[in-house]
Amino acid sequence: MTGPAPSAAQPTDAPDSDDAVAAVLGEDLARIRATLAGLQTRFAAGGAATGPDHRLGLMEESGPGELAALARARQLQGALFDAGLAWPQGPVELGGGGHAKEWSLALDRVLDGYDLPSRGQLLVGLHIVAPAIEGHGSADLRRRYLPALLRGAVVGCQLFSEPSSGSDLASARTSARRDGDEWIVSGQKVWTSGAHFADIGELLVRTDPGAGKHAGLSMLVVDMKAPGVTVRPLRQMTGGSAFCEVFLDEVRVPDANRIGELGAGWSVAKTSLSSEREAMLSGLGPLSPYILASLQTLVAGADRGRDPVIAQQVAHVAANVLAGQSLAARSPADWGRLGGVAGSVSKLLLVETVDLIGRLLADLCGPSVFLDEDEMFLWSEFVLGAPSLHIAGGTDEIQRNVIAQRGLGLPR
Amino acid sequence: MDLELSTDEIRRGIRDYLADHDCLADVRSVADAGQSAPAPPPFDRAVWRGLAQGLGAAGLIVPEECGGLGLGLRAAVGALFESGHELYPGPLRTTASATAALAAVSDGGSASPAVTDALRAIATVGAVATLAVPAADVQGGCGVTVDGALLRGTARAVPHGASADILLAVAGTPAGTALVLVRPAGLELAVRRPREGIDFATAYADLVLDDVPVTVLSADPGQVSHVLDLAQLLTAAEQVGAAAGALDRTLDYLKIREQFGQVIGGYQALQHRCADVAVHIEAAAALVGLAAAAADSGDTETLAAVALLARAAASEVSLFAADTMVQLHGGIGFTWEHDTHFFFRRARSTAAWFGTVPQLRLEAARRSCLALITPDLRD
Repeated sequence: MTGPAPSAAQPTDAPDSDDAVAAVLGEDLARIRATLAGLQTRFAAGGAATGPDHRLGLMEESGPGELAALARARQLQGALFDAGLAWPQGPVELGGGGHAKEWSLALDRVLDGYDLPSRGQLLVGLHIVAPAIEGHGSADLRRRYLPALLRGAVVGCQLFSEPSSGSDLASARTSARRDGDEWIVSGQKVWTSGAHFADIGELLVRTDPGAGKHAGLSMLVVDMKAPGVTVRPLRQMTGGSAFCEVFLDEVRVPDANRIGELGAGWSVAKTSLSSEREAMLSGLGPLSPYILASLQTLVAGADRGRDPVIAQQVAHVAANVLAGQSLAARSPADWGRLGGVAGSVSKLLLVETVDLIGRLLADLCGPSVFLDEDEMFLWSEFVLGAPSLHIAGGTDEIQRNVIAQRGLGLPR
Repeated sequence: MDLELSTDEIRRGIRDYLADHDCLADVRSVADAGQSAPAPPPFDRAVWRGLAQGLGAAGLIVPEECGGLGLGLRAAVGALFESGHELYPGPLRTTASATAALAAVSDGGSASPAVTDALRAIATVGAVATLAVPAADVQGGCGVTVDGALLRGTARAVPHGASADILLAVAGTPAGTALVLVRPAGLELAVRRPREGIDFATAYADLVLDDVPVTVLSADPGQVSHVLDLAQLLTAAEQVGAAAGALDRTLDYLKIREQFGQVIGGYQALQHRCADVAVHIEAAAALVGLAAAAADSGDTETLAAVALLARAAASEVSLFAADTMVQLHGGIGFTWEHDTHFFFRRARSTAAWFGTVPQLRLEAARRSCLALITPDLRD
């Protein structure tokens, strides 16, 4: 047989040690460290609500501290932008760093070493909305929104899913009717994180009901404060609220806010979705350094930590996390035939890891995992949030379809 | 050969060479010979010489002053992904494990002539080498003890033990363990007993080593343990390659086999099983890559934990991929005539040798592997 070499076979060349990071960042490293150390001090000093309370949750949920956390995230993002650290791969003329992917990956590794406020509430804007505008938007759209999103001045949300269009996203039926230079949009979106505090939304609409399923879609940037936009929080199984439903009733959107060509909405959506998956696995993902450090503390302090069965589970978790970190840092060229589906591979590994941690927590702590007392309360939030990761950003089954069909070459 | 060759080019050379040779035909001849006497050779010596000397695969990690390419573990790992993918039955992995051990004790340039001779023979004349490790554990000796310069006992289930021209062993000592090199004269005294095993693609032998003269290369516990970790890493690499080989052959079949009027690769139930195998191959390969990078950067502490995690992941995915290969081939996959069982047999036996998944994970936990994922927050 003369099949392709295993794509697996590629040891990564991305920076995976302090030396490699230093080699990639070169003389920038000292400046970066000084900036981050300064920010760490600044936010530790001023952060009344920076306590670890909500940081074991797997998603950003609404709560009393939410707006304060958002303000802090925006300040941090602005400071990183001003220091040239918020948008390493972005074009220089718009305020980006103009660096290669390796530089950006190395920066992520350095960032992991600092205890900074969560930027979770900005992730949708940064890693879902911005890449779509960068990849498909007009020069005008790029100029208007990219620097603002990247410096945290504008917060984005994603308006893709609908009550009857979940995994079958391309069946979306929120309609956009042309009226001069504007579109009049009506419909309902759902599972929108942060819609209640977002400034803009990336809105998938059907602009041509007569065209094919995919070809009838276009993408717009909608002002979330525009007349006709109604946001209602959804309460999920954790008891908290991380998602909203968004009702659009004759909302007027200028055609100048269209991302990409008319009828190219599906292709724009795919850019957002693959970027979302990629972001999920880097240090920005749900398994934050804080969660991992807390897990370590918990295992070290638990009576059952030395039980051989528990120890094996601990090792399995450690292996999965290490593998996930390594895959997140792997150069695109090293993925072989799975290059186009790297995000799906990593997402499946991530959700498996989250489940392994959930099981470890239960086996390690016994009843205190469900009795919501003391610090275990924080872990119960993790356990209850875990199922959402299998669904958000494409269900496990959708990811497997993607890997099999686009990666392994099996027929559709 | 051209020393400027990149590791990618070396890998491609090995891949093409082994694919042209059709390794599975050799495995089949071993399988079909059964208990017949005389037993066929477990691998083709001419193919081994072509691989070892012609392509330089045996000398990848041999220092340049001993005639090798002086490359790092990453190169060896890449070569073993390829040989595993083709289920190559020859001694590339055992030779690499022995070479890594020899190179580890000669770091610093103070190698004894016995070590440099062995390295030179591996790189230049296609010598077959193996390292006897504990067959049923992650650490400790291989069943023999060394007293002074004499070895006593029986090393069990040594891969390519019957063919080895160069034999290293991790032997028990009153104080712990030592890495020993059997002297050429000692090798003649060894009684080699080939074992019947289920894996037709790896020949195991018991070696009775009573009063066999050896050179003790290291009795430093850290160094001996490091040598075992390197062997774990190299074994893991070959296992991940075999898993990828099983997946690729399964995919080929799913794309041509038709049932219910369509190729069965279009069915979601089968697609999802392949996708899951692919995900776990990537995860295991990533761990192998991390362990190799740690070895190459001299980070023995990280290697000590990650090599075991990589090996556990590799054992699991090799079983998963081989099981999936049999099942997705349906009835034909359970026949003697099909190659599926060679992958299944290889996966089963390698995963049960030199530490099982629970043993590997338990030891990795003892080596504080959790600390590796805990961020080191700066002040």
